[in-house]
Amino acid sequence: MAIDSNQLEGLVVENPSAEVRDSARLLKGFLDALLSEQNGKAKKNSRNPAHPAHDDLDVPGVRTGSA
Amino acid sequence: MLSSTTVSNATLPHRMLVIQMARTSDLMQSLMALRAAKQLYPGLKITLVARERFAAAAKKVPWIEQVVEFPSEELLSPALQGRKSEHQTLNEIAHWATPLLAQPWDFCFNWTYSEASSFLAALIPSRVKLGFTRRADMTLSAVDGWSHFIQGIVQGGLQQNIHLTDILTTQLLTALQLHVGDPVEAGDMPVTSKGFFRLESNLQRLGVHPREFSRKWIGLQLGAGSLDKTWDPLNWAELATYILDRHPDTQIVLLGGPEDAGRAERFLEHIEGLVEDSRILNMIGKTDFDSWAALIGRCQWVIAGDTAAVHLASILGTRVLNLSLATYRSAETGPYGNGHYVLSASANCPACRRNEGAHTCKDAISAEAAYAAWSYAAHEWSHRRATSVESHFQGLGFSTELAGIQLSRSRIRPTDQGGGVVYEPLISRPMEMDEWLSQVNGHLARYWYCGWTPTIGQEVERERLSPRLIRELRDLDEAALVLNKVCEEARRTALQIEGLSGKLKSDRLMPVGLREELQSLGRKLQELENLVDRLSNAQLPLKGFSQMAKVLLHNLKGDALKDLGRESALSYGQLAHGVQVLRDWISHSLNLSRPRILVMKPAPSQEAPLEQ
Repeated sequence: MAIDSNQLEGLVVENPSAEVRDSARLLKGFLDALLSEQNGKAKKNSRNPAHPAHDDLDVPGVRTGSA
Repeated sequence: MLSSTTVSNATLPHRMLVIQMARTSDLMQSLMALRAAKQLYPGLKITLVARERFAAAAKKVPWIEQVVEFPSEELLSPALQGRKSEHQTLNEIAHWATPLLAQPWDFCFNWTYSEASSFLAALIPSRVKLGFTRRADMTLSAVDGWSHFIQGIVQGGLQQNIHLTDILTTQLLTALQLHVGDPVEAGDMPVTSKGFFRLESNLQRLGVHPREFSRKWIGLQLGAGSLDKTWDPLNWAELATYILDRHPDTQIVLLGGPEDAGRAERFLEHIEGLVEDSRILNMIGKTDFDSWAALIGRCQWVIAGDTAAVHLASILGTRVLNLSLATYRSAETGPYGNGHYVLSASANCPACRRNEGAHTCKDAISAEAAYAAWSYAAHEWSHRRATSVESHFQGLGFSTELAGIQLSRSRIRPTDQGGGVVYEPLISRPMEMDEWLSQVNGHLARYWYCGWTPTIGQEVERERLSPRLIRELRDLDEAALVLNKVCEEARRTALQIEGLSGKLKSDRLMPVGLREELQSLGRKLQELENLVDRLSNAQLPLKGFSQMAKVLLHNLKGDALKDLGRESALSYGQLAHGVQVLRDWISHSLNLSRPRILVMKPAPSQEAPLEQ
């Protein structure tokens, strides 16, 4: 199968400065999603590691991120 | 790899923003991928966004230009507790984000793969974006092939065998090659090294006595990411006792944060009187990132469960025995490099399959099994792995421990075998569907997104194909054939939609006959999509295809009907090719399992006349 390089190059924008984004809605979406993550954490009442050796499972990552 | 037609400008500056707002483990894996890119593209100017709590590791990397910390607690706690309004919090977040928006970036990689990070990625002005972001209508968008794979397979809960560090590295290097050009020749420079971080730690300040430097340090990281994946302190104590009793030149270093104090207490109570106190260096709760990294860098071995210590040790070149407990997937997030070991249960327990309840599989990992695994690994220089794991366990009197475990050793494949880390099982056990499918899914990702694939079934051994797997593969073959036909039919239907809509001047105004024809094709495509779902529900090994179909169809590029028809056809074409790869794997495995007829050559007759 020929590789489809369009799939690998990502989202390409010729002039990102000129791109009009709805910043207010995106910021609101960012905040809501962050609060939702934090709320999930509070509900689970899970451990709250202060040491960098430990991971906080309620912070989404590749394995845990839900999208 | 893809061939590039662009002229290399790998040494020219390119501004790259990497969003990694996940945990320390993810951050460490991202740093390894970025290190590889920085070596090949020395002109990269990397800025990394990380949560304040997990940013320590990134701040110690000298080649990262800037670390932008997101103060989660400071910004979010007041909002959660009602001490600040949403409006105030939004203002503060906008203030925090403003410097990131000031000047367009050349690249923005969102490696967090979460809902929240997708909104942030969408805000960032960048010429090229990869990972999750948001469309103009605010729906989530995975903008590149590897992100489709992460969303559909990795986050979809399906097994696959490509390490996340390798996924991130391949995604990054491929994008750089496409947009920047060929890399500089970096030779065989390793990504990991003792000097990866610029540390400011003096171990003697932690109270480490100079005599302790003369011993071999074995680090035990007592905690793990969750209780499920945490080993009992009594097991740790018994393991430490075995090591200290039988290896007088060793020193145990207890690693962990303040929250591990209770575990350390139980550990020390259990071990009291059994070993010399001076041979236990208790560093629980005493370390910051620098001293934690310095201790791990000083250790010869780190033994740990699912914790960032595994990745830190990998980066620093300290060998790891990784205790893979409960739902931990070592193939994706195990220790990275050559010569690390992973000890796991030989089979999933009911809780692993349901993802809830008590994990009985943890019982298989006893202190005896862990000690035998470590002593095998730590002395491989003397037996050169000519001794089998089984006979090593037998020699220790621990043969009974073998029944429930698997021990694997990591190896970096040569480039001509596809590169990346692979974990080779050292105890011969029948292969079950999960493991087989994990290899197929890894193969599919390489086939779709690498442009290079290993030979079908390269790492499948005939002796390991169990009768149950063979039966399951025969059933699967029939369903896969049907799925292949469905995907091909869907591809043809989508092409018809593209063809018809290409004649339209508008997607809204069209002759009635044409509209009815397009509606009919649309309904047919929907029915075929439902059929993909039904097939994967009936045959769970096909689940990956239905999940990938959803992701691909959600991420079609373009708005016009013609574009969507073309993109749908490409997506179903990709799936159909993938199903064919699956069928090739099935066929290869069934062929391998067939009884072999050995043709014996007759012995030369003594009376036969000699040839002249």
